[in-house]
Amino acid sequence: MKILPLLAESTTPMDRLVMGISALGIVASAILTVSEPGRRVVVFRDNRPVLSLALDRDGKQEVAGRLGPVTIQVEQGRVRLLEYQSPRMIGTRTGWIQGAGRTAACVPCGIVLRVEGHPKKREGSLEFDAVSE
Amino acid sequence: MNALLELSPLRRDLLVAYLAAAAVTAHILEAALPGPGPWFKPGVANVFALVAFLRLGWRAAAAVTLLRVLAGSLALGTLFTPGFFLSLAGGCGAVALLGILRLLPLGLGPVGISLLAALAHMGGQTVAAWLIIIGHAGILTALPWFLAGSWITGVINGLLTALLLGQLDRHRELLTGP
Repeated sequence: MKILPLLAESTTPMDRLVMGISALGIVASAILTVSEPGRRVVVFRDNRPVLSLALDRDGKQEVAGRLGPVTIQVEQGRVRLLEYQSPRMIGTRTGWIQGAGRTAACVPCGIVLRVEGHPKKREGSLEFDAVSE
Repeated sequence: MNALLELSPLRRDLLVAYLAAAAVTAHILEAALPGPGPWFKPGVANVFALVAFLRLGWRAAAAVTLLRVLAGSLALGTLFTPGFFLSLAGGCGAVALLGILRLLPLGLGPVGISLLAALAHMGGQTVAAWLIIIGHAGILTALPWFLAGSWITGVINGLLTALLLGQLDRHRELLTGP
């Protein structure tokens, strides 16, 4: 079955207009959110920052999540979250993140990672190299 | 293509139950399948809600969606977990959008309706994750990528809905009776 003939046959002109406008809107918003390179990652536990790591220093740190320990791994300017007790491992499946503003979350663990850009450019950034609770 | 069926209350309720059962089955199967990424599901379960919307009306679509979220979560053991609330918020977003669309004669077919409902579903889920669970707006930076996934699944599910409606209309006499 050919997709394009099926699409032409199954859509009204209004459908095609909605498809075009929504695609343009999504592309425009994606371009607007393309971010500067990340400089550091802030780790939140239950919405409170508990750890901040520079992304130019490879290493691993463990933080206590609601369900058990969660490992934050920094490597080559990127960061990822490794949970071990989460039922669906959504945070781990997010994989490596690196651009400023990108997030990875393990909701059951209450842990959220947020990559930030240059500290001087972003209000509210934590201005230290590494802190843990 | 969007003509509502005129059915007796019993036949109407039976069709809602069949569609809800199919939606719950799809919901459970989708949860078991490995997804291409977090928060990204094909959303085939929503096809049955769209069929309900286009053939039985908005109330039937709302019933199929809510039954799908409740019974699906009950069967998966995720009732009242964060995932349940995300699913509920997505379903409510899609149903609210369908409620608006039924008041506006825009000339949309299954694909356009499915696309807008998929975007509303993802919007509802993301806002719920922001307000209830994650608590900060960082998640909104990923929204365009989530919406891009929803755009694709919305179009595919719209095509599936059109195919299913075609089959349903070919056997209309089985639904409406003698």
